[in-house]
Amino acid sequence: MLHQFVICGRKVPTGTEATQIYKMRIFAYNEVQAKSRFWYFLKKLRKVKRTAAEILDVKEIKDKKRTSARNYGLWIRFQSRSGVLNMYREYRDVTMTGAVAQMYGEMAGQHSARFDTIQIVDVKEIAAKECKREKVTAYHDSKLAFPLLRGSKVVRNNKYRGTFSAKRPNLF
Amino acid sequence: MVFQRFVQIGRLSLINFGKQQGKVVVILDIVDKNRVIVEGPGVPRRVLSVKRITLTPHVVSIPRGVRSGLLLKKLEEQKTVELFQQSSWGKKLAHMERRKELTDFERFKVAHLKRQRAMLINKAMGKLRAKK
Repeated sequence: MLHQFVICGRKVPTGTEATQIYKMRIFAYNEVQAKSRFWYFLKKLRKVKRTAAEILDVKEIKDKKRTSARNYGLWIRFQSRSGVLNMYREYRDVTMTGAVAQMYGEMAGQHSARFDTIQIVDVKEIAAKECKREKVTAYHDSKLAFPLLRGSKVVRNNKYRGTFSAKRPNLF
Repeated sequence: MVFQRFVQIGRLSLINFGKQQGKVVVILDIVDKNRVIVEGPGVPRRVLSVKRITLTPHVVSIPRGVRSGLLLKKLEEQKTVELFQQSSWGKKLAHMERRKELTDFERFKVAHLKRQRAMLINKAMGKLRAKK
């Protein structure tokens, strides 16, 4: 399961010089990975190395137990096989980590993107009218109705489940 | 083949899996094509996969993501759950529920009555056959 962490770190202070503290929001599967990503990004942005720096705090931001669907906009930078691509993607989910997890899944499927090739630039909850992707806006219609093509299977007790059935299944 | 039952806001459905199996819920919002937000009498609001619900022919007219109080009020006003319970499907479910609760003696009584009924039917059928 994906988690959201907030990590603070800085260069180890030497002498009297004041050191800048850097704070970053990281999506990762565990704390170890989150710290590793923190150093990876910090190295790219500032002249700070793990050997001469320290992590001050790692906090997990737990998702609230939410029961309303929200729209999330994700800005990502993705290292494809032939170059770097910037992308804006939208997802509909109940939690932010859910939306980010959806993104990783979709990127893996559509672009064979591994976890480390994707850099999340920003994740924001966005209002319905700001949504651009039809995949998300389709669900904003409150009169939306669609049938269940595959139907929902009634899960029965295994005791009564046979190899053959006299009746053809009703699939809708 | 025309579809009659849709995943839509206000659709009365049954949970078909887990601890809450058999409970009646209403779809309040659609997260995406696979997940919906549901709530019902005795079922707190939650996200559920569409695979875990069975759609009924009944629909409550409610606004999207309605609050619990208003939902229960609308359900009562429009008598949606009642309508479902009075339908043959609802009756069958109630019947099955009652059958589950039977004691050993009651089950015996049912079997006995069923035998008696079969006897009467067979007798009448025999007479009809004899006439032919």
